[in-house]
Amino acid sequence: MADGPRTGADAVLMHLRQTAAVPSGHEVVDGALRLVVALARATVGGADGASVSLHRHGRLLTVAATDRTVYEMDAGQYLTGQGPCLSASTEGRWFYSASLEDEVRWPAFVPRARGLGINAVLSNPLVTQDQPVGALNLYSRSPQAFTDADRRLAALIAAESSTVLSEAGITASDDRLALRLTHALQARQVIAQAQGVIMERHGIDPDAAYHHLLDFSRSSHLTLLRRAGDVVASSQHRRTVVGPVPDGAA
Amino acid sequence: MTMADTELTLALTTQLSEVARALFAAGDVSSTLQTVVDLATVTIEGCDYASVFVEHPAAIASDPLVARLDELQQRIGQGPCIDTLRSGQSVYVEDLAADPHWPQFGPEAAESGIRCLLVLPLSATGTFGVLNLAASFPAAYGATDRAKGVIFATLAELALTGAQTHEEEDRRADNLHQALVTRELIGRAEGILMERERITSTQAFDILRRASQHLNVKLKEVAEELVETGERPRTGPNDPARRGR
Amino acid sequence: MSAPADTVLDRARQNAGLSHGELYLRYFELGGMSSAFQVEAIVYELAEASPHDYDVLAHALNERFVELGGDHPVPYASEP
Repeated sequence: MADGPRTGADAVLMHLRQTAAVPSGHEVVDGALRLVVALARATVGGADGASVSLHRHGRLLTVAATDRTVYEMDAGQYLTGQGPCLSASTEGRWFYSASLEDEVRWPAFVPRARGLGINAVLSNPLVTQDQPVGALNLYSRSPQAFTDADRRLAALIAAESSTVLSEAGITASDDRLALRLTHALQARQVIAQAQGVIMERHGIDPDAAYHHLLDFSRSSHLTLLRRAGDVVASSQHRRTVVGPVPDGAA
Repeated sequence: MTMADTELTLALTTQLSEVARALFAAGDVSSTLQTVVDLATVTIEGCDYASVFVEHPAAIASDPLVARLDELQQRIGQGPCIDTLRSGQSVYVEDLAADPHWPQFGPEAAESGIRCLLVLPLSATGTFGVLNLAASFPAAYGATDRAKGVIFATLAELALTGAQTHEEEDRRADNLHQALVTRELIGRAEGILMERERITSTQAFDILRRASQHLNVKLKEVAEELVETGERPRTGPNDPARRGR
Repeated sequence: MSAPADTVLDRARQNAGLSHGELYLRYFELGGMSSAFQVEAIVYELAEASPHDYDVLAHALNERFVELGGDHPVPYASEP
């Protein structure tokens, strides 16, 4: 076939990873990210907690956190659809709130955060291939907690973590890819069935049948899948067969 | 945080990610182990020789000098690596010549040129190996070096788990490649039946499935036979589709 | 997913000595179109399968049983 089986197999492997029935490289990356949050928490002055959120399975998830409060901070943002973590991970730039008491952005999120005792939040995006894939979040119980030096350090840690994620092959397109892959695999099966229909109809081998499909789709300006779908549908319809006289006839 | 602390942290962070990058890029288990050993001596000041020992699959990467030390421990049945492997606790021996814990191993090791040893466990769901950081001078590792050693060991654990996963995934990719080829063969067989008998793909699958049961062969073999010979498979002694033909 | 109640398909899967991933691969090879996640949900009866999907799964299990020297113990949806 035009795109070789090897590509198909790699695509299937990624599809399976996404659907989590097959252990993925996530454990390894998550482990590295746990290290990152511990390092960030320990070294960025003012930080009482740190977390990393990543886009996975079509949602934003907390994959590493230094404590429970931090999980709840992240969860609050996912639930309300608001917050610096969310903003950083979608817009690809940093967001800082020095004092949640005076914060006017994120009106649904801020009261929840203050309820958890948090008064300052700093989120830096994690970026691979120029696309945001998540965020490194730092939280503090005290307002005005993060100095300029602290914010620069946090940004550096986020930048280095982004590189690690790149090396581990985490990209923004992974998630959207999963859906496209499911469709691609279903499409391949329709194409295979159409090949069978054409093989039977014209008495030719699989490769010739494939080229038959390809040629027709080119000349009719239909996509290969669309043409394959039409062929499969046509196999269901009874046609008048001109040929040998049936048994029992005169 | 003082300026010196910040600089140290910046340096540590950068180094960490460089090490992480190299470890993740290494690939299979043996090249990962080699990378761990190579990077350890560069990343951790004071470390002159390094070795990594992993139990399953048995693998080792080592400077010959340290390899001798491992052999020595195996031979006399005592030593810091053996202790760490069993206990999962790290061991720091400031001066092998003067440490009372290993009256046999200590002096012999010192004799061969190793005075200081930091042994770190490599653990995932249990201790699966050790990282040995050896130095020719006593008290070679300060607090920072020992902290780096711990972080380094953590990265090595991750990279090794990753490498093992990669090898498994390569095998899995091969299985998937084969599965995809077979799946499409079955699709073509379905197409042939759909056209021949004016049935849906589900009905075509049923025919292949019944034939597989009746003939007690794999469905893919039934499909292959059909695609290659064009002959319709028997689904049973009272094959309904054969009646009236 | 957390440990679920005992289901026909999951018991068969365990008796056949197949992990969820291994079962999915066999299901996929037979032309199954659902995702691994959906198949696991079907095995645990957390999601309903179309009769066809069920039969593909059943046949994947039965082929494995034959490999182990048995017969086709898992009944098919399309056979009453």
